[in-house]
Amino acid sequence: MHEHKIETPNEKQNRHKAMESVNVLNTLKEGFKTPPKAMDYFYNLFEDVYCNQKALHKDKVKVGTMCIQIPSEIIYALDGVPIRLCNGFYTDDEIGSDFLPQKACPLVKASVGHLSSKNLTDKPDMIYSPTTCDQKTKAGTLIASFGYEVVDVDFPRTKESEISREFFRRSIREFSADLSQKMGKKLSRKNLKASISKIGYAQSLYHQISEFRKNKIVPILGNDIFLVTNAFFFDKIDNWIEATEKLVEELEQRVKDEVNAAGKISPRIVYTGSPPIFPNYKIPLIIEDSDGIIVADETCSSNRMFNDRVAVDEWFVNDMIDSLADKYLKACTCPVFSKNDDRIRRIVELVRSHNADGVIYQAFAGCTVYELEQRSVLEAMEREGISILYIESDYSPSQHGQLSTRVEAFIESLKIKNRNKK
Amino acid sequence: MVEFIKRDKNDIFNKPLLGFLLKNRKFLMSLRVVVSALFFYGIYYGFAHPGKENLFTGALFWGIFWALFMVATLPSFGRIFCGICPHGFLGKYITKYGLQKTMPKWMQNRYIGITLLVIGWWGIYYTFPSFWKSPLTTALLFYGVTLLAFTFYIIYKDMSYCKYICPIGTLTRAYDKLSFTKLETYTDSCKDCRTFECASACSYNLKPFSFAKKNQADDCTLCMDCATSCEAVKFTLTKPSEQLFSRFKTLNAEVWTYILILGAIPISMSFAHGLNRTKIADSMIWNQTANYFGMSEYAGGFAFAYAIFFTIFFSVLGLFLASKVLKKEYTLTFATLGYAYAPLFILGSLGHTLGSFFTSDYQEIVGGFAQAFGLVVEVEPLAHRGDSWLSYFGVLKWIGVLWAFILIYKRMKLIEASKVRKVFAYFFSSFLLFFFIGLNFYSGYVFKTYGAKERGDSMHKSAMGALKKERPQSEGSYAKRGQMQESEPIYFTLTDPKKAVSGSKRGSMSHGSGDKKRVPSKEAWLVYGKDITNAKAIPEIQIETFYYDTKKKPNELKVEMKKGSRVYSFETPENGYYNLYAKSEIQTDKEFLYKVAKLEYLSGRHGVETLYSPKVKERVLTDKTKIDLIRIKKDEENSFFYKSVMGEELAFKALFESLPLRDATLVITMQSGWSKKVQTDEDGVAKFHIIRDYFPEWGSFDKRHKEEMLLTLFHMPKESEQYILTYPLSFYPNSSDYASYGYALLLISLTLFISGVIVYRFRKNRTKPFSELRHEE
Amino acid sequence: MKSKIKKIINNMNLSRVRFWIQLFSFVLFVYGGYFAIDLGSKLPIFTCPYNEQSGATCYLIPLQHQLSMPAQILLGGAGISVIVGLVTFLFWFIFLNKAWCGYVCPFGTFQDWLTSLRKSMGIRYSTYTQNQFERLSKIKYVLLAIVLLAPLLMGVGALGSEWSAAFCQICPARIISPMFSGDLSQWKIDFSTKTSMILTAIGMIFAGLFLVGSFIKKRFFCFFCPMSALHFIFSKFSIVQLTKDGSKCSTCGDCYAVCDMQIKDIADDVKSTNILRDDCILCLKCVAACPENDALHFDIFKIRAFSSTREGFEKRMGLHKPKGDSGE
Repeated sequence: MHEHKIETPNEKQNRHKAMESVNVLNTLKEGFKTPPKAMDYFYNLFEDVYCNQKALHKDKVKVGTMCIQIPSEIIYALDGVPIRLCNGFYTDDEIGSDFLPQKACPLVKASVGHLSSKNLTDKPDMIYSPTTCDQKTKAGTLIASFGYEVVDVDFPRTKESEISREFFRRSIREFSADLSQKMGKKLSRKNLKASISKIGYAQSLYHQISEFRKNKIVPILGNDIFLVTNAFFFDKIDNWIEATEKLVEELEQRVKDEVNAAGKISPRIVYTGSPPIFPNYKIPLIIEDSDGIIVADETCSSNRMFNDRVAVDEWFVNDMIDSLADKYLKACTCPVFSKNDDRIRRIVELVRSHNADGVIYQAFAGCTVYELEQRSVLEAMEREGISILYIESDYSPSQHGQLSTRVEAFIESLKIKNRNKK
Repeated sequence: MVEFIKRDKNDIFNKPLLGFLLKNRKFLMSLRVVVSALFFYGIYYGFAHPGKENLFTGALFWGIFWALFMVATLPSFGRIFCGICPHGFLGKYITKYGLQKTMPKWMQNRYIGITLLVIGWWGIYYTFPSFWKSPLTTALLFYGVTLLAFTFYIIYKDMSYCKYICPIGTLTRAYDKLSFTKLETYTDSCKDCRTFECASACSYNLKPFSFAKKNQADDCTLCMDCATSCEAVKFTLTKPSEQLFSRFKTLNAEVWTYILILGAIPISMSFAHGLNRTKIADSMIWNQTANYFGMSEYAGGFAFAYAIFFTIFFSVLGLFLASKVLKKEYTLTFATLGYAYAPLFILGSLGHTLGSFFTSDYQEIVGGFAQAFGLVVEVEPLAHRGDSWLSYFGVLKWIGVLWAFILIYKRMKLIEASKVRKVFAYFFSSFLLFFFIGLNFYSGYVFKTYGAKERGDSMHKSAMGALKKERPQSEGSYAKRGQMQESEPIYFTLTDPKKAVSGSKRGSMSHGSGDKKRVPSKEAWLVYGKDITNAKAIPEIQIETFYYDTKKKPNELKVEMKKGSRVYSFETPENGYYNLYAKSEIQTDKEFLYKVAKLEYLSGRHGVETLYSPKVKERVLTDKTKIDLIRIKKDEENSFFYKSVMGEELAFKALFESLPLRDATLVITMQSGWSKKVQTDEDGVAKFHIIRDYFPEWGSFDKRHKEEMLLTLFHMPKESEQYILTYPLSFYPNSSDYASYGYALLLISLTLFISGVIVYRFRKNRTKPFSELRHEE
Repeated sequence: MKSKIKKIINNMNLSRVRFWIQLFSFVLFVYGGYFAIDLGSKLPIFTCPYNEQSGATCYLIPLQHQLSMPAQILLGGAGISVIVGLVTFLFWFIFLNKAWCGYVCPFGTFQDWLTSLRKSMGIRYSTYTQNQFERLSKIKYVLLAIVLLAPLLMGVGALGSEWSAAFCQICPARIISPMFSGDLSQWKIDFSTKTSMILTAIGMIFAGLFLVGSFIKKRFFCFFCPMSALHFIFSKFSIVQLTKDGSKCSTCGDCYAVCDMQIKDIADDVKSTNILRDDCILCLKCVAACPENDALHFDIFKIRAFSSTREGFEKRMGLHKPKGDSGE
């Protein structure tokens, strides 16, 4: 019928990625109790983008960001579309292994691999790389060697000092000046304020969902939420807002109807550590497969993007930029900083407010900062009397069995603890 | 033993000079040798010169050692008095070669020392005031005590004399707790110590390594022997009386020390020296008791006994009630809360001592030392009694009271009881404080109300006082009857003519009358004489006085004799104009004289309203005098603080029988003697400018400079009939003489401009939002 | 019901509420004289009686007057009047704590209006660097020392009578407050003595600096206000407090961004519960700008009267659903 064609590497890459995607999406759709109907938008979105290679922003300038510390408010204000380049595909991870040491972080490897293949549906016109962790910092330069336009955005590695505050404010001023020049558009009080409120509104939707997850009956799986927040990486923001609004409505109804996404005695888990990025939902899926329910998370692919807000006293451009800089630096709970106290406080606060039973801390093998901070978090949780499980994993599908045994055991122990409490 | 230690910041041994000196054996030794030498020289000098001419012995013992040095150091550095005490210093060596016996149990009683002090010293001090004062008795006293001390050192071990017998041993131990220093050890280093150099170095057989844990330093006299033996000993700065904020092993004798000393010193003083100097001293209970027993010479002793009794009564009663309320044992309550009384005595006493140091003791000490060492030094006292800054030492007493209140609060926390109980217990345990405060207020009140006794009949009877009494009181410039010419005008003045002798006349400021209920009033005098600044009080003549208040109602002026002159006073309850009149009609054979003195007084008190409604300046129309002169107030006048100023035009309206008086003569006489006449026009109005006659050097310009002038209105309808009205007025420099709007405007514009430019330039050029760090090269 | 009221309060538009309260108290204290209002002379705010229409008197004036009494009189009995004055002052003070500064003080309100004027002109405000801030905020204690010591020294005769209200002579409120009732008579330099010449000249310079300063810097004078220093000494006794729950704080710095007084602790200190600092004017803008539930709250008698809430934050920052397609 049709002639036999030799698969190009890009085609092979697309096929593999589609397989990975479908696998996860099917599990989400069918492996659990009925997901909310509003989730269909997100399932379809991921299918379109990762299986059908659909480009979303053909006519827009796409600004790639290597980490969350690049204020998307400014990009939107200048009419660009921020595309977060963090990647979760094992396929890309393997491609990236050619460029980075074997022990490097799979997330960085996958991002580099993806960009090196130049096989992107929404190819970024320029990339801003904040100098956060070592690997990301280095990856920026590496990516530039593939022919992308990469601009480093200086990022301090400590945030308590006054110098660091000023430093990052300057850095963001530079960034916005650079971007504004490239986009040929000026930042104005009006466009910046509008985009701040838009993102603020998107954040408030996330917070509304968080409120539902604080309930005793949790209306939605943590994995679904990861998918929703993950979509924020690249989706058209207005579509995202609309779909999430629908989700909020449906969840509200679900709360009223007491529809429980989890089991009756499922232990409530706060997830923290290296970010689960589609389709690497390995650990979250294991958790919820083992009758746990993720009620909150402290990761940069979800909570950290939405938690912190911008407030300004006088809506001048400079004030807004300064306040944005503060938000992305001072409130950031990224482990790259010298001190990890803010992150620990956030985790404890999430545990308390979401009434969680335990914390699961996942670090990618090679993601040094999370591995390093494992000790301080474990210590702090012990002090607070919170059960915690530390897991190391990567993108490879191989160690599934061993991981699920550990997670199951942990969840069982939480169940026993709960029973004893009663 | 610890060789090296990282010292805390608040460790005094860590401070540059003090740290070096306190840890330096040679320095401490020489200091003690000097003190001992002085001590014995003082005793010797007392025996050698037993008479009053010996200034040294008294100055040394009563000027420096006791009182000044002790009360100054106890609440600050602590017991360093004991650290340099010759007895302790020499005792250490004596006891080393002595018999080293253990003191019998009955003698190991801390009340011995304090009883000796309270009865033996203070009891005698009040009963026989002059007994201890002579150099000979002083020398004898210290000689005796020294012998006693040395005997005890020889017989008993561990410096037991200091702990139990020394009259001030318990006292210093007790008040040491108020200090802001603490001798203890770095406990972390002591944990591993097995040699205990600090304890073996201590002549008092104490264990310095346990001080930190016990939160007290027992009988430590801060001799610093331990500190030189081991590095782990620290001498830290703490909050004042920090020890008392938390638990430690309490000692009833210490609480009794606070109570007895409070009774024996400040309260007895207040009885025997304070209240006894007032006019109503005789009605005081101790004097009455003394008289009842016929022992009025020893009234001081009775005052002392009563003081001790009252003090014990209030403290014990208060603490007893507190213990009942708290439902705790009395002994526990006593020992816990009693410590709060510590600051009462020491701070008041410090204030008193410092005050007398500046006024007299300083001079005496220097004089005494000069005498003893054959030097010629003459010094003036640092201050004179009555210097106003000295009264700030009085504040120390109230700080002490406040401190005691805080301490009760802090120590109440150490007792477990419900909040309500604690509130009541707080009240009860403050009884002693209330008594102390009340006594202070009471003696202030008595002094204010009844005044001090004349020096002559107080216990300090002196020839000088007697002489003064004999001398006839000079009556100043009080005018003798009949000197005043009948036609001479009389006028009101608001300043006492007797006080007005001196040239400078500051408007007397009335300060804090305190008593809010009392209606304020103003005093006026009637005077005569050309010289306004030196007018004479009028002799007694027939005169009718009255005044119109702010509501334009006539009232009588109150007349009373004060210090030999007649004072006319009127109440000024409200702000506004008060019009005073004095009228006399004299019919001589030649002529009829009708004299009126008028004064328009504007009462403006702060804290009430400043501006008034037009109604206030409406004129008063009197039918009680035939002639009147009214100042026509300008339209813009609307303040209760209106003042006439130089250069201002004043307008007056003369009235005769309530009708405008034309062609009358108005004579304006200034303080400087300058005078001018104006005639009234057909409306009875006369206008004139106040001249500007104040031209001092710029440096001595006084904007509150007040000058007086007198307006005299003459009206002679007939040759033999004369009407005279006087109207005094005061005025001030015009503010345009000294206040410049132009310069102010210039200055503010300059500031606005310069700072505006600076800010603009700075913001325009700013590339660095924070100052860069630069290294010095 | 209770939670409903709470919600209304927590969602309120603080800046509007504050504007009206400030306007009301400005009229009350600056023009109170026209309505025959007199709230006494112990008010913990700069309601300057040099303005003859003021509805009350700043406590610093009677305080200086009382302290300038000759020492013998001050320490004998008249000291009671100082204590009575202080107690009256405290009586006023404990009700509002430093909110007197943020809501009532007419001089503070005037600065806020200068700020809005600047804002409407599109000029951005200036800030101090942290370094400058730390040094400058000590000045108010120096001024407080002048308030207290100058009259005391005068009382013992060390200084002349021009010093009796030395602080008032250099206080910009003396020069500016009377202007509100059309009285420019304080715009002068008093040449009567050297001291008063220097003091009044400094006063004029301060007034000029005040006008420029508070135009470009929010609440410029409050950094230096000795009343603020006096407040802080007693702030612990007040029934109202500003409290922080550090465990809920994400140190995002939103509160710091809106703080007129640049108090860094409000964002960075996650340990203290009582977050009222000496510069604070208790305007509660920080509470209004805090996006975390209950992280900052304003307490009356330890009851939460106004708490930070996510919802309130979103309302006040105007984070509503964007209209139409991506607009710009």
